[in-house]
Amino acid sequence: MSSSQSTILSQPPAWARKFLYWYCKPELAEEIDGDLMETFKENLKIRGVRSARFNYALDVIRFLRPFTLTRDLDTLTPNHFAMIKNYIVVAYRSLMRKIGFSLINIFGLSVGITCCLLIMMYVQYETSYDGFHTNGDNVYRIALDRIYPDREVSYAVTPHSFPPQMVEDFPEVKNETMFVSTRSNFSVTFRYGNKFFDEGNVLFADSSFFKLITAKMVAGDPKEALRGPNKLVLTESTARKYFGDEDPIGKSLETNPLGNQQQNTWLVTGVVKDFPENSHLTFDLIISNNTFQFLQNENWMGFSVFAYIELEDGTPPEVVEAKFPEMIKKYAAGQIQQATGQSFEEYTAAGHGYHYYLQSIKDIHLTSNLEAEIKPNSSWSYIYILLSIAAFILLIACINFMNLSTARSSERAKEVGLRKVLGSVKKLLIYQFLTESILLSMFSTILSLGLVYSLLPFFNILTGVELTLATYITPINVAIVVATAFLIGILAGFYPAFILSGFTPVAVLKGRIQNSKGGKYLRDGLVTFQFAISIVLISSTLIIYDQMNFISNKSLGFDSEQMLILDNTNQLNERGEVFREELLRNENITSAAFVGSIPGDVHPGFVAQLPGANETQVILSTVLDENALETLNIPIAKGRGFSRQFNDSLSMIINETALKTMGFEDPIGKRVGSQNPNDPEEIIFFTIVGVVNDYHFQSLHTDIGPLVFLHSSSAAGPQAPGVLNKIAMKVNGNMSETLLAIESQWNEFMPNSPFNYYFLDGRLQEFYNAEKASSRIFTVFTTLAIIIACVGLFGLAAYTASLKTKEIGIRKVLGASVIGIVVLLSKEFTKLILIALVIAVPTAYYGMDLWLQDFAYRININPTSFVLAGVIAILIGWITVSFQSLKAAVVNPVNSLRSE
Amino acid sequence: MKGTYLGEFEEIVLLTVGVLDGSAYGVSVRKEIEQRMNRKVTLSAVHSALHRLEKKGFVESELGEATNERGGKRKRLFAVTNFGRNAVKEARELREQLWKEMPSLAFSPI
Repeated sequence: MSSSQSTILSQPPAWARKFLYWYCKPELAEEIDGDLMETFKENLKIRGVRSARFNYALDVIRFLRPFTLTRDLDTLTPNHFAMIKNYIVVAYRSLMRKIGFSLINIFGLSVGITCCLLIMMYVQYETSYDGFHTNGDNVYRIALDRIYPDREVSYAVTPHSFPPQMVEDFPEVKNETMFVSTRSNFSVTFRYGNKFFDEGNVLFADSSFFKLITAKMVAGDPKEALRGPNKLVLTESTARKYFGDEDPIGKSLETNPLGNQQQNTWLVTGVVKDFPENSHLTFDLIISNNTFQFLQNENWMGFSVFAYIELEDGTPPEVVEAKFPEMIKKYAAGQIQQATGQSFEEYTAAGHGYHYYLQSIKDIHLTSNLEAEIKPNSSWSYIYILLSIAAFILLIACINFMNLSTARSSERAKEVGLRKVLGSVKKLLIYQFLTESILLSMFSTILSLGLVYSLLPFFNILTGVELTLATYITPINVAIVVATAFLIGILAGFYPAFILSGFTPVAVLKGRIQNSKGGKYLRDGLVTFQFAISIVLISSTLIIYDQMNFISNKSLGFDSEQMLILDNTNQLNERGEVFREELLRNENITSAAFVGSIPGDVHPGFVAQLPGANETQVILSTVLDENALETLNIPIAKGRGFSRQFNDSLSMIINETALKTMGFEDPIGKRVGSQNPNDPEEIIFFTIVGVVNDYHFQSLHTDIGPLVFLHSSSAAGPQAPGVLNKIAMKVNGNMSETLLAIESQWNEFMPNSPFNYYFLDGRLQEFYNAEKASSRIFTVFTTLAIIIACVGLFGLAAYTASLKTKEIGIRKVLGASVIGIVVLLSKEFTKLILIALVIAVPTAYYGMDLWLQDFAYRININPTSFVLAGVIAILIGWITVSFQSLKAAVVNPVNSLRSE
Repeated sequence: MKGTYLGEFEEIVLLTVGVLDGSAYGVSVRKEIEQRMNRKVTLSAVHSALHRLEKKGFVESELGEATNERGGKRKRLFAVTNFGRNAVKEARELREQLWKEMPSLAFSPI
């Protein structure tokens, strides 16, 4: 054995030693290793190397005991963990100690967060419109500002000759498509076997439709489905309606002849998934439009179709828009000259103009509110209003938290003092209080998620959209909600944390604490702010109600009550008069008349050429029979109505506004020319036989415009499909019985057409659906805002009352009455509410004035709305406060003064 | 407090620390016990007991100097605290009390 070997062997096994140092607590390792070494050396002398080494290893293993392994939390884990744990424990305890205040906070915050979440969901839905189109970023609709000498009207429909020309002339324009929608104009009856339905949501589209508009094709080829005449694409649910479980492809639906279309069978070539609701356009059926004669004719002037173009990737729309004026001059000038007798230059010099522009398909829903939109659109201002309501409600809830926390700060002052004495620094105390508020807001958020889930069905009824929770559970949304909860906690907790952590320990522990004057001012300021918001919301709600009432009750200038409208009557053809006479045999029907457009419908334009003037005016028009004015009870101001005693095919009646724009002194007998729609070369002259009083034939959002009536026998009448397509009748007595009688008569006359009716007043109210929905939403959220504000006030009042227990006791001993004390305690809040009123009134006035601008017929803002809002606010405030004051005031003074 | 209980082995270790008077550390305590009690004791058992006693406050310790035969490692020297002294004393008195109360007959020599 060499000496170097013996040195190595006289050492304990290295692995055992390493193992010891690995597992053992470092502070114990040295002494244990020392003891083991000592023993090893002794063993080396007595028992030899092998045994000593073996025993050393054995002892190392024997030292695998709890006391050498366990590491104390205090020494080895990061300090933060223990602190956070401590924060949470302390936060939990302090929340539980004042459970009432905590509940007020949690309630307020959860309701606030719930409102916020619901509104955010709604906003997300509204901004998702038309986001699903594959090429959506490059697809634009062509819109038109039509400038007349005296006014400007914006249309969503444009002449149909431009889009193909754009593709040809402009390299930036890749594709185009155009279509006509039946919505709000007329309906088409489709038949399959013995099944027939009235379809009011039909598109007449061309074969490139699916290139620009994305729809999921379930069956058929999107490129070919609408190519060629008489093709039909259905949505899934429409297909099911007609064909049940049969395969619709290759089957045909029948209609009456549409326009001048010869064939009236439509071959189903495609089925698409039901089109998403969140699009500005909608359809149940699409039929190919390329055989419609009117689309084959050149048209550079008349607003006929919804036209869309797709630009090359990355082309700014302005580049294409810049080329429009040149294009109009090049192509439209000829037609303008032909129609008006003026050159394009003369025409524009007279103040006429066509300003075409592009609307991104994604922006249409929230930015476009033009004439003839496919669906009523929303607007950003509405979204902003909702968002600010959400922010306000959340703010009110946060203010509650801040107020209650700072008000109660004296209760926690001792805790803060003691913590500071024991070495806590301000930063750590801020963390501690923030933990408390974040915990509270997290809890409220969880609660409000449950509330959202259970309230969503009601919210859907309120807003009229179908939101489902499942579509909103995405990682991003979850992250946003968690982050928001965190942020709310910090927002609400920062100020109290700052105040509470600022106490000087000596002063606090000596008992010299008082709520600072500054703190009280801030609290008062916040309460005032809360109430200002509440008063703005209350008075706005009242004004909206006033306006809605005004609209519902405004005299429209004609009779819309009990007015039953029957659709599709153009299908009666020559049997119409017999049908009408048959109706009048029913004693409940006092009068009945055929009309082309009823008030509320889209009225076709009539191009009028006035005598002596070489320019034309486009005036809205309708066709009606000789009974219509009497049935609708539209009074005649001058001249006569249409009558059977005359041949009225070349007569016309105008309204007072038309009389004004035409500028006749004595209108009766004057002749107005108009192009014959069937022969553009010919001018037909109509003689004015009567003037009617103005009546509201459009919604009250617009002023009464000029209007002309032509007789049903008129030569120039039939422009729109289905001329006398409605019958209006005044119905009295038992409504359901009468309806049954009318239906059976209809089925007798028209066994293959659906019986389609509505009441005029109901239909007219639909114009205001958007306003009604927003006023409902407004009311609900206003109520919630007020409730949250009151809950906060309730808590604050409870606190103030508890501070003044002794004062109240002494006052009572000295003879104060209960009422006196209640007044004393309520006085301060009343002052705050009055200040809030002063702030709120101008704000609300300004906001509501803006809102009312949307109505052509609007109320003057009534000062009583503000008075009422103020009274409501003060009353609610008083009730809230006096509940607490009364509780404090009726306490026996002995109880509050006995213990000191 | 659970910690004030004094187990049998702990009592022996505590007394041994007292006996060694200032030179008590792991190896010496084991040697002393093995010699006096004639029983085999492992080093880890001694350390564990000393650790427990220190946690209970019966002994206190400080690090001594390093020596060569310890491979340059310092030893931890233990000494009995007043609290520890009282604890053994109490334990002894308790036992004597019990001895006194025991009927003498039961343990009378045969």
